[in-house]
Amino acid sequence: MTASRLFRVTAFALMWSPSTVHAQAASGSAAAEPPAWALAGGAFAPLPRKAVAARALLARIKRIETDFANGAPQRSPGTVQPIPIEDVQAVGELLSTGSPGVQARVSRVLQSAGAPPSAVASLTQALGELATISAASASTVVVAAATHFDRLVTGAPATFLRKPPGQFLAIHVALVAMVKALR
Amino acid sequence: MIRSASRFWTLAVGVAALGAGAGQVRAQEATDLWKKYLIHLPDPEDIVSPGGFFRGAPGTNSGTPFAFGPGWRDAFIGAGYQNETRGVYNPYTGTASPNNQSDGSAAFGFGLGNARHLVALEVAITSLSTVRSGWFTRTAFSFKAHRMISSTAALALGVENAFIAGGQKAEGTTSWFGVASKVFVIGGGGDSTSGRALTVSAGVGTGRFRRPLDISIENAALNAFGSAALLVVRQLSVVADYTGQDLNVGLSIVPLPSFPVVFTPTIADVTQTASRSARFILGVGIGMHF
Repeated sequence: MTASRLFRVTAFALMWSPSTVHAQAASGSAAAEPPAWALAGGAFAPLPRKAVAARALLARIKRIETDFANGAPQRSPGTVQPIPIEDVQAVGELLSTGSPGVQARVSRVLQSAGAPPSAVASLTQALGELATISAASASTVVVAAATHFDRLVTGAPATFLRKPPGQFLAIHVALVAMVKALR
Repeated sequence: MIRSASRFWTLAVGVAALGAGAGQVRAQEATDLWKKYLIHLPDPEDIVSPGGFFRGAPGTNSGTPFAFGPGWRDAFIGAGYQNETRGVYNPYTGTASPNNQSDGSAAFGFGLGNARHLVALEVAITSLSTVRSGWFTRTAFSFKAHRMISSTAALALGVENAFIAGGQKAEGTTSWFGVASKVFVIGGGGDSTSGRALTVSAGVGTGRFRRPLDISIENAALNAFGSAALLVVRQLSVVADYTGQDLNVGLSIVPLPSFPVVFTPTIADVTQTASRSARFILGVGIGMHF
């Protein structure tokens, strides 16, 4: 029904039943106040990240940690090469246990390949903290770990980045997946 | 002597140029290597849409439009019920007659396009008739073009009840509107991890958004409307709406996170300015992404 036709019908109805038409018009749509579609449409409002998916994010991170600890095959997005399983497992152990011993082992590998020691220490400590995250802290810890990873990348010599060790590649893959889960 | 000085400068410039070129190459190589490995973090203030198949999020409005909406592969279904429809407003006495009988409607809709990249169109199909006169005996079609201007703000232009199929009564006034909405994240240092948010919408419209006086004297005027919704916890928000005629207050609740149907009980016209007594309205809806 067009607006003009609706207007004519309204005018005609007004002559016979002003009270009814006023009731309908005053409510906009007697049958649809509020419009039913507007209520369902609320579900499409953007929301704060925590309000949406804190628990889902935590579950995703734990799944990534488990996959790595179990040596699930991983391929580096940087080199497109498969990452050696032992490197994937070493990083998985660091992510899932956070133990100081594992942190030290991973640190040694990265440093011996030429990564700056201070950046390596910050990164491995941040990765270790992923082992004890909660739903409330998950996004903050992931962002912190990724930030430390980026600092290592920008501070590392080109020789390191040209041929990085497998554990560096495994950390990269894990963090990319975790950051993706944040979005 | 002069010739040798000239040679020296030529050589110096050449060496400098080579050095600069090598530096550029090194910088380019470093950039390329960084690009391989740098992780692009989301904007700390970025706000996400509810994920999953069911878009289980409490509503932000109970009687007015807002500027966010579904895009391609989004759909929704919902129903509305009110225990009484509004009485008749008398412009000469400024009073309203008693409210009328209960009423309901049901709707479904979907989105087209992408509001983040260009624009999306929400299409809503509402059955104005329900059990008394049969489903979809009178069917209204509504449209809203909406665009997100940031991850927390959007603009929309739309028309409610653009046309009605099977219209037997003058029910369902065509109402044009323009609206802007903004989500403010509250607490937690302003980042999006705090979990609370205030969604504010403001707009102008014709039709049902006019003042009661303009409606009663058939004055085709524009009028302002607006809403504010506070997301208190993940499954509950408190909503206040000014429809242009009256003030509604309500809650929007998602009782089950695993099946996030949204219930929005509302008291309409709490100030009793446009009807003789406040009315109860219940909306039920669910959004989907596939």
